[in-house]
Amino acid sequence: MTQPAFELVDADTQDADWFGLWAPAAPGPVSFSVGAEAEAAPPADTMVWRANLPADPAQAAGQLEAGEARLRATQSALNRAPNQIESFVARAQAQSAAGVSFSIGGDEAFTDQESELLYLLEEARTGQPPAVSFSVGEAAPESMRQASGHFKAAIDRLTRIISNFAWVETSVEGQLLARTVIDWTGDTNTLAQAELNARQAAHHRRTVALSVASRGLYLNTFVIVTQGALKLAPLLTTPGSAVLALPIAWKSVSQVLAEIGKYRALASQSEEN
Amino acid sequence: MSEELLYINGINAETGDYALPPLSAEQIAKVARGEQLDDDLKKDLQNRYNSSLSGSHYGLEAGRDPSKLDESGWGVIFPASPDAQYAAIREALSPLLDLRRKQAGPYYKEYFGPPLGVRPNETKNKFLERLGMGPGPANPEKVPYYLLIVGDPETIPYSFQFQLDVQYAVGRIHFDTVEEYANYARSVVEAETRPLKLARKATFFGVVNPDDPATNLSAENLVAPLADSLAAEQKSWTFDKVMKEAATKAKLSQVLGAEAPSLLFTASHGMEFPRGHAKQEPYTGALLCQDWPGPRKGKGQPVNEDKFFHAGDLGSDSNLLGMLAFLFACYGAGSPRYDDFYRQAAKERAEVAPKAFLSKLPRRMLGLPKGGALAVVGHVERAWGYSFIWGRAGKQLTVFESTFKNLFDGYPIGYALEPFNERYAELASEITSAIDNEIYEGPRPAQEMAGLWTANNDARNYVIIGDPAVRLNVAGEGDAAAARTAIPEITSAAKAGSAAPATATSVVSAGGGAGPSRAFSSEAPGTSEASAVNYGFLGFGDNKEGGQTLGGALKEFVDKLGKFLSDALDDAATLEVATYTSDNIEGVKYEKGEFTGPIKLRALTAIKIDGDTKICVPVKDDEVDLSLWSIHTEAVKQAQTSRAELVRAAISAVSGLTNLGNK
Repeated sequence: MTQPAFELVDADTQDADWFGLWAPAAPGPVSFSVGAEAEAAPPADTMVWRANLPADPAQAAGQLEAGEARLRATQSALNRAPNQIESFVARAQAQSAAGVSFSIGGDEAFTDQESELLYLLEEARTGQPPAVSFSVGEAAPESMRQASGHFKAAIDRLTRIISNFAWVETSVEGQLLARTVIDWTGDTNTLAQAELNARQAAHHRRTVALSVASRGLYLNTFVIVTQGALKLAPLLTTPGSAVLALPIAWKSVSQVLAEIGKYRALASQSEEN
Repeated sequence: MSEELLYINGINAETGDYALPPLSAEQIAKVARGEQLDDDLKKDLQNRYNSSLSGSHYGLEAGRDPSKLDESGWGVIFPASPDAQYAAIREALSPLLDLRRKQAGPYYKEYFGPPLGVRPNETKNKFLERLGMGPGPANPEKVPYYLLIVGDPETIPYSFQFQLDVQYAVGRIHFDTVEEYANYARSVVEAETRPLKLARKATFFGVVNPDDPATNLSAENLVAPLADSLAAEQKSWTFDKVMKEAATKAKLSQVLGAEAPSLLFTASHGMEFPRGHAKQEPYTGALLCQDWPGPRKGKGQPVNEDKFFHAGDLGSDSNLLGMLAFLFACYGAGSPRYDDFYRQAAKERAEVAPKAFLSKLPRRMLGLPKGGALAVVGHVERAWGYSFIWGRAGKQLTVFESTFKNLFDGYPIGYALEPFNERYAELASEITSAIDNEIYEGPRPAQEMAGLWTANNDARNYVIIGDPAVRLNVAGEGDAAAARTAIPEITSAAKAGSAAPATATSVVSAGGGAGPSRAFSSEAPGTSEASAVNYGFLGFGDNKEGGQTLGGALKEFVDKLGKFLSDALDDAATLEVATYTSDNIEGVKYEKGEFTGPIKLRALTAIKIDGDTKICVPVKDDEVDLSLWSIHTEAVKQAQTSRAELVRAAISAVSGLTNLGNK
C-alpha cells in the first residue's frame, strides 16, 4: 500500500487535515514488552507532521513542491473568502429588504452552497429548521446543531495544535532522515542522520517549512472565520449574532477549502491523463 | 457632637457598637500626616484643582457638552481577562451597549478582552497611556468621558476607579449572575427609550438613632437642610422627608414599594461585620434604620436583620425602574479588602474583608427582575460625618446641592457628581501642601489636619454603582407622570432545572415580552421550554452528556492562545536552535525537551533579544562541516521567521475573537 506523501498524526481524531494536504495517520504502536528497545517516540498528544518521500530526489522535490503549491493555493483562496461572504451577505440583505424571508433553494441568486448557508441562517434566526421539502434521495441540509458540532471539532483541533509543539519527520522510503522538534516559541532541536547530504537536508528543511506554514494557516483560517462571522452577523439581528454566526462562517470557509480540494484533485487527474 | 471627637457612620453588627470608636482630632491628624499619595495621582489632582480654579471645565475637554454623549463619549471597560464569562456578560449587556453606541456615535468605545481591557495591577495612567491618552481633561477622541467599569473590585480595583474618576465620569457594575446584568441593561434601555415619565418625587430618609451623635449630625446638618434647600428651588418637585421616628425599616420598605420615588437620599449607619463573617458579604452596607435603639441601649447586643434594610428586603416583585439613589452610609457602595484608615495609622494593612466587593443592596437595587434603579451613589469604606460640617463654618451643603441641581437640570449622574471630584482634588492638593509645609512652618492644628484628611477621603470614596451616563427620567414640568412600567422578565435556564441560581458563568434564556428576545440557553433547539435558539455558545462548561460545549471549546482555545502568547512573550528574550546528528537515529529518545541517547551536538545558536548571539559551529576533520552548517543556518532562519509569523497569527486570532465579542 502506498504511503501518503504527507501525514499528520493526531491522537484525538482521524479527521482529515483542513487543507487536504496532510493525510490522517494513526499514532505508532506502543510496546509494553520488558527489555524492548524503546523507540524514539513523541510525547503523548504531540502532533506529528511527517513527509514520506520517494528515493528519487527529483520526485521527492516534486512532491514537496506540490505540497507547497497546495498551501499557497489554499492561502490565496482563504484570502478571497471574506469577499465572497460579503457578496453573499449583500445579496441576502437585498432579498430580505424586498420583504422576503431568506429564500432557500430554487433562487438563482444563490449557489447551492450559499443556499446551505441560508438554511443555517434561517434556523439561527428563528430557532427552528426552515420548512423545506426534500426530494427522495436528497440529503437534508446540515442543521445548526451539526454545523456547531463541526465547528467545535475544528476548534478542538486548533486547540491541540497550539497546545503542543510540532514534531516533524522526513523519511525516504521508510527510512528516517531527520527529525525536528519546534516549540511554540520557536526553539528548535533538529536531529539528523550523521551522513545527511545537502539535498536530503534541503528536503527536511522544506518539510519543516510545510508543517510550520500549515500551523500558521490553521490559525489564519480561524481568523478568517471570525471575520466571516462578523460579516454574517447583520443577517441574524439577534444579540450575540456574531458568535452565533461562527459555525455558519466555518461552514462557508469549509466550502471554500473543499472547492480547493476538488480543484486540486481534478488538476492531478488531468496531469496523470 | 463633641468638638474633639469624630463619629463615623458604621455599626458593628456583632457588638451593636460603633464599628470604629469615635476618634480625637489628634489621632486622625497623625494618620493624615502619614498620608502618602502616589505621585501620578498627586499630579492629576493638582491639575484638576488648578483647572477648576479657572472655572474652565469639569473633567471634560472644553467646548464639549457633557449632557450629549455624541460630544462627550461613552465607553465600557472590562478586565483584560480572556475568561469567557466576560463574553457572556458582554452579551447580557448588549442592549445597553447598542443603545450607547447609537447615542455616542464615533465616541463609543469598548475596552474588552486581553488587548484592551484593564490588566492586573494596571494603574489608571498606564491604562490611559495604552489608549494614547495622558493626564488631563477627558478627550473623547481618545477616551470617552463617561466610562462604565464592568467587574468586581478585586479584578479592577477601587484605586483604579478612584484615580480614573478624578477626570472622568466613572461608574461600575458587578453582579453575581448574567441574568442581573441583563436585567440592568434592559432597565436602562427601557427607562431611556420608552421613555419613562416618572413623577417628580424625591424622598429624603434621615435616621436619628437615640443617643447617637453620628445620625443626629447627619439628619440635622445634611438630610433636613438639603431637602429644604432643594425644595425651595425645585418647585415642580415633591420632596418627602422621612425623618427620625418615621425612618423605620418598615417605612423604608414602603418607600421602595409601589410608589417609589424617582430620587432617593438616605443617611444612616451602614452595617459592618467582622472579616469573613457569614453575613459580611450579604449585609455589609445595609441601612440601619430607626429600629436600632442606639449605641447606649443597643450596646453589646447583636444587630439583627429586622433593624436594617438589606438586599433581601427587595423581593422579586420590587420595581425601582428609573430611580437614582444616594445612600450616605458606611460601606453603602462597597468594601475594600484592606482598611485604608489602619493602613495610614499603623503603617500596615489590616484586612477587613477576604476580598473587596460591592455591597449587595445597591446591586440588588440595580438588578431587580421587574426593573431596577439606574444608579446608586454610595460610599466605599467608612463615611465620615465630618464631610458636611467644616469647622466653625458649620454645615457645608454646596457639594451636595450642586450635585442634585445638576441632576434636576437633566445632566447624567457621572457629570452631576463632579462637585465631589472637584472637592476631592481641592482637599487632596491642600492636604499634600499642608503636610509639605509643616516641615518649615511647624505642625498645623490637629483639628484642621483631621478635617482635611477625613473630608479628603470622604470625597474620594463616593462612587457610582451603575452607568455614569444615566439621568433622571421624570415627566416634564407640568406634564402628567406615568406609572412605573416593568421590564420583560428574564428567566434563568438554570432555574428551570434546579434551584441553583445562574452564576456569571452559567447561562440564561429569555422568555417573551417586549424587546429583543434573548437566547442564552445551552439546551438544544426544540428542547428548551423557552424555545430559545441556542447552540451551546454561552455554555462554558460541559453539556448534559458530559461532553464539552462549543462555548467550552472556545474558552479552552482562548485560554491556550493566551498561554501561548504569554509564553512567547516571556521567552521572547532568547531563541535557541540546536542541531544534532546520530548514527542510530531510531535509537534516540526525546525526554524533557531534549534529545538523549547516541547523539552528538553539532551546532548551536542562541540569540538574545539584544542581538547577543552565541554560535557553536560544527567541525569535521578539523574543518567546518559545511553541509551540516547549511542545515543549521537554515533552521535558525526558519525558527526566527516562524516565531514571528506564529505570534502574528496568534495575535490576529485573539483580535478576531475580541472583535466578535464586541459585536
